[in-house]
Amino acid sequence: MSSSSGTPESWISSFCSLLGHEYFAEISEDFIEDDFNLTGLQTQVAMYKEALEMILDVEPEDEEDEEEEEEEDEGDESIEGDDRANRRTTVERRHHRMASDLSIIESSAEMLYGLIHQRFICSRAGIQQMSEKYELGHFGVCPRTFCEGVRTLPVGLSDVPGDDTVKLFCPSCLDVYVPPNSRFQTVDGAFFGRTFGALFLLTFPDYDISKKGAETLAHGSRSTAGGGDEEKEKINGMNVQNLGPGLGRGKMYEPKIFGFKVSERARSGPRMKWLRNRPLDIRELDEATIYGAAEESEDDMENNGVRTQPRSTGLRAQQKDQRPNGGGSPMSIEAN
Amino acid sequence: MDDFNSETDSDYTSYWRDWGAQPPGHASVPSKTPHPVGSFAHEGLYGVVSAVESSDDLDDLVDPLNAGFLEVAFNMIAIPYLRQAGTREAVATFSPKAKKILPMGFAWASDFGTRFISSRGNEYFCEIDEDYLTDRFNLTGLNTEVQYYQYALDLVTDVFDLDCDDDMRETIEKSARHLYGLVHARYIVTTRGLAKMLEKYKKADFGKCPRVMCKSHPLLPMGQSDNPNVKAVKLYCARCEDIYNPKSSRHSAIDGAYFGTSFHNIIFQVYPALIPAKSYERYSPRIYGFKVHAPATLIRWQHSERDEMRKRLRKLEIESGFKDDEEDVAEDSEEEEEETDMVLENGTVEVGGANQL
Repeated sequence: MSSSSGTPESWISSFCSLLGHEYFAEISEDFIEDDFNLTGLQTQVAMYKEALEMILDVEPEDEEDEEEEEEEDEGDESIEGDDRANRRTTVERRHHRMASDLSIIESSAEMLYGLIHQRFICSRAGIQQMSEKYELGHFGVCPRTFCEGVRTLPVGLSDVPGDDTVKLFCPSCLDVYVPPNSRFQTVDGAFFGRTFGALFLLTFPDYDISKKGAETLAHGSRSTAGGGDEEKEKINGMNVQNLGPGLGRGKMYEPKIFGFKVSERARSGPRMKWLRNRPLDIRELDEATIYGAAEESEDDMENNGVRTQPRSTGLRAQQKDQRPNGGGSPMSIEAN
Repeated sequence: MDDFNSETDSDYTSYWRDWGAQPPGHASVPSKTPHPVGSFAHEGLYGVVSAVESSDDLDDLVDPLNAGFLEVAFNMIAIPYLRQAGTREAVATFSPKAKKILPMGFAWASDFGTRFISSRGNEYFCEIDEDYLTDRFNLTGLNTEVQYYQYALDLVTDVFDLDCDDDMRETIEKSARHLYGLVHARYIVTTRGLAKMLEKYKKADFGKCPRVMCKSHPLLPMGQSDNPNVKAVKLYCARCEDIYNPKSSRHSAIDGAYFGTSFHNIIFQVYPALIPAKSYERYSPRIYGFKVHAPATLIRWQHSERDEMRKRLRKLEIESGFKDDEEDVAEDSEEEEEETDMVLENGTVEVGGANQL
């Protein structure tokens, strides 16, 4: 924390600039100050009130002179606390911060921040901030060879703190990976939550997720979506090209020995191909349309099971009309 | 350093020759008193080595300043010493940490294989048996692949004694590394090589699978091509049967051809007991506990592929290798139900959390 530059750094920004906290977004104070957003957190965090005050850099009783000092160095806090105690006339001051308390409060503040963060990044402002971080590749890239370094998103495998550390979700292969750097192994996965990864994909359907981390992003604006329907084709609420682009033929590892494929029948043969597979024709997954097509043409009733049947363009157009919004999330916002 | 120059070369080298030829406890020339310069050099070398050993962070030593110091130290002290004494045994007298650093400074100081293996970034390689290297049959065809093949081979087999300038030396060094890598790809599919790589695999020397559901399963190095200079080395996870990029950039500079496309598959054919149990476990994207439609459809499709494969295998009465072989298929529908229950539960739990939008 360097606060020599006049305006002291807030607790939030100093927290986010700590080593290993690169994945965190800076929660806006408005969000924290709205009690509604904090519903239920009192019971989850010890010394809730003190922690909340620490996050918001609020000194409960006298805000005018101590605010900056506190940010400058928390180590001084004990002396300062004693000082204050001498000066203070109000007896029932709850926030008498001793050094021992401070470390507890600090850790509760981190926990509280994390839990608010889990909610914040699913809000409009938060997900927007995360999308900026995503664009800049702050969350790293997928380690899988066939994903070719696409950018990942931080997710948790549980919403309950203490269960697991933060993981990286690759939207291209729909799998989760351990962050390469061990410094992230101290970050709780619950601070990102299970929802964020998937919600991100639905919120920004027009991101080309197969873009490599190194490349800069140029996204097509939504207004042109009507014109270029071929590339904006949607299946089940997601753009076709964003549905597991790192999977399927050509993106799966094929085990070979001296150039010969290892047979499935061998004991050491491939067994996990399904995990990285994808239908050759992705439209096969559009079950609703397939069903609709079957219903519509009574003659094709017996062909109901044949799923590879290509859909007519007329049908596709109809499907488009039904979902003018492209079936995205109701809270879809413009990427950037 | 002036002390060195004041001595005649012959005294200097002869000391080292004698010293090096002297097995410990051998008493044929016990009366020879150590030359003053020799002892200085001796201490100097060990001074360097102990400095290397006492440093906690290896990276400190490779920063330019330290590297410069080390290079001087090595050129002046270690090379003459190791050139004379320099065998595997000489290197073996240093701690493993020192060995890691030592090889960077000098070219011919010690046994090529040992030095190559122990240098930074080469942790993926195993040491090729000398017998294997000296058998010309094993090197068939490599002479067209490697520049200065004969010199490189001499260097690899530690019989190199050509006087040449630094540039040439560097080129030959490079060729030797290339040759070693190419022989390595052949060696690791032999019985001895497989056993050596197996040991490294068990120690997880090649790293662990980054995929969360693989639970840090050890990886194996592999190439996507058997031709050199096509693709860098990748890491294969036998549990998810997929390949990953090495974490460290110094590993991603290694040529994949030095491991080849076959090794990691052969090792599981030779040691079938090593094949890890496959698992159904996977990640499924969820929003407030509810699966997302598009990925969920894809996942359902993948699962139907998997079940078809299992049916095929069952028909042929081939073990599919999944952890929970018998119960799984029967339980599938049940599992699905359980899952939906859980989802509902989670859904209601998190409705409170969902409201802040």
